[in-house]
Amino acid sequence: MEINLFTWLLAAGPIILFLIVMLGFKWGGSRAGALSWLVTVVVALLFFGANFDLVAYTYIKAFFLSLDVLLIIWTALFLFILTEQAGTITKIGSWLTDLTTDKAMQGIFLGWLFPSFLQGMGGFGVPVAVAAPLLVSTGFNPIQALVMSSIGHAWGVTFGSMASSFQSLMAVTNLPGELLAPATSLILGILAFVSGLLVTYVADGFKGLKSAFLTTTLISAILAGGQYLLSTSGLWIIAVTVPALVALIVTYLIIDLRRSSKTPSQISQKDLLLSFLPYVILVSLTLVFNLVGWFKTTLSQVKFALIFPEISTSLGDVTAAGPGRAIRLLTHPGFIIFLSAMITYLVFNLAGILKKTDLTVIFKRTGKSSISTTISILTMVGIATIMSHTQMTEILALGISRAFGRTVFPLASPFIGALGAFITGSNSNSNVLFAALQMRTAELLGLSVPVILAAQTAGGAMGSMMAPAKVILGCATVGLGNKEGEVIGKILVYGVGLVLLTGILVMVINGYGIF
Amino acid sequence: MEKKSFFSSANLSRISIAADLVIPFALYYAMVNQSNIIAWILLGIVVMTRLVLVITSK
Repeated sequence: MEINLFTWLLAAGPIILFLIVMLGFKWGGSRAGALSWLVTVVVALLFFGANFDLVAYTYIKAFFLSLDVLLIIWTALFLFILTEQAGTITKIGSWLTDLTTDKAMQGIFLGWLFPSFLQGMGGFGVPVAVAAPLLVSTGFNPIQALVMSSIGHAWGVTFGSMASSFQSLMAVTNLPGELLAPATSLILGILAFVSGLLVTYVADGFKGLKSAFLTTTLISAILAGGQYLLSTSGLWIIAVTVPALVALIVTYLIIDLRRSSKTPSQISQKDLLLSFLPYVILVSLTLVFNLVGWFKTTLSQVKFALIFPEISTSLGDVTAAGPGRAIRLLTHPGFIIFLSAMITYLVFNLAGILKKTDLTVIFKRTGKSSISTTISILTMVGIATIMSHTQMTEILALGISRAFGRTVFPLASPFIGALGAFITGSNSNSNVLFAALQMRTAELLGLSVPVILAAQTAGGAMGSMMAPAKVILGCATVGLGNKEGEVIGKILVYGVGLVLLTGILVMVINGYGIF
Repeated sequence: MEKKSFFSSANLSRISIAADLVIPFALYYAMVNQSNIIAWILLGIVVMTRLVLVITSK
């Protein structure tokens, strides 16, 4: 098909429509996704040579691609709601609050590391919603609290929520995590350091930045180094949780060493141990399932994959026959998270923290909370799959590559990721929407695909902190229900700066040909 | 007490998810066994649920 402005606009149509209804008409992700999927089907049938077989098979393929991501989202949410129902999240927060009166250190602990730890486990706007009120309770003003916790957790979004965003990146591009992890974790590691510095600055101005500089540097080394080692070893589902947990312990020890008067925390040691138990179980199971040879080889044999026939359009685009995305049920991160959650429930039940009836409540709350995300993911993966099976992604990518060129595209790439996350409120959704497009553009321009995809997801991570959906949720928790605009304005300043920094990093990494 | 409509936004979202969880399997077997009419009906249901979701969601 000839590439001109009309065909490019047709190919971009579903995405442009998605942006218009979400931004202009304030539609939710599920409604906007459903409409854009319908429009994609119509455009593909009328202009890109699609037929009934293509629509049907891409719908089925998209379902299995989505399932790979949804299994993590559902189970991570289940575990998170379980800990919330048990009240252990609040206990961890209260224990952290009792530790120090130093503003910069409180910022590091409650505005940077605690939300990062929560992001590692759950995400979905919860890190800001939980950490911001705790920061307010220690004396920060509500806007400061929201800005700190928003900046603080963003570096951990891609490998956070049990790496669901990273999983969506792999699913949509069909590239192995081992190829994508090094560049992604390098960029996010540098962003973790800068985020830490920004949090200390917001907490206590230049005084805080200066006084906590060494601590921030040390903690950043733990976060960035830990994330790099774990993600490049295939342990991406704990690549934020474990470094954030280690960083919390190290920071606790630093604060404890500096403390002159030691007042005991109101949280008992038993409660504290029980509060951290879910994460200990999860980390242990993840290590066992990934590092013990028997588990890896035997359990990974239980897999499910459908074989698809060759799919072609009337314009001559052919997708070869072959298996769809294989789901290895017993080694899937979702299974490990669910197992951890059920063991946690049994222990909490024995300890009298959770009742039998609570399990039903947790299941119901998980179902209710995941409805919108599930539809959004299903429809958006559907859009991306149809677009990649016709010439739509190809035409879109060619247009962008011609417009930006090889030199400028690395700088623009994270802004595309950030835009997707800003609109949809999710790094995963942004990856589903734009990763295939970014990959194809990188190929056409002769740029490193892993670096450009790292730019996409890192940009998405930074963009997600500015997403109105997340900011509105955060504002509600600190009593700023009518000041969302003001808060978004403050966060945008830091967020756009971090996306720009990502672009510069990508240009440098690409220029030196590191990956 | 106000009675909740069956066609509430939340219920329609649930129906949409239920359809999306079941239909891909049925559609796959209809497609590979070349049961064209069943495949058309199944995909038609998907299109209808999404259309209803667009029209009725708030």
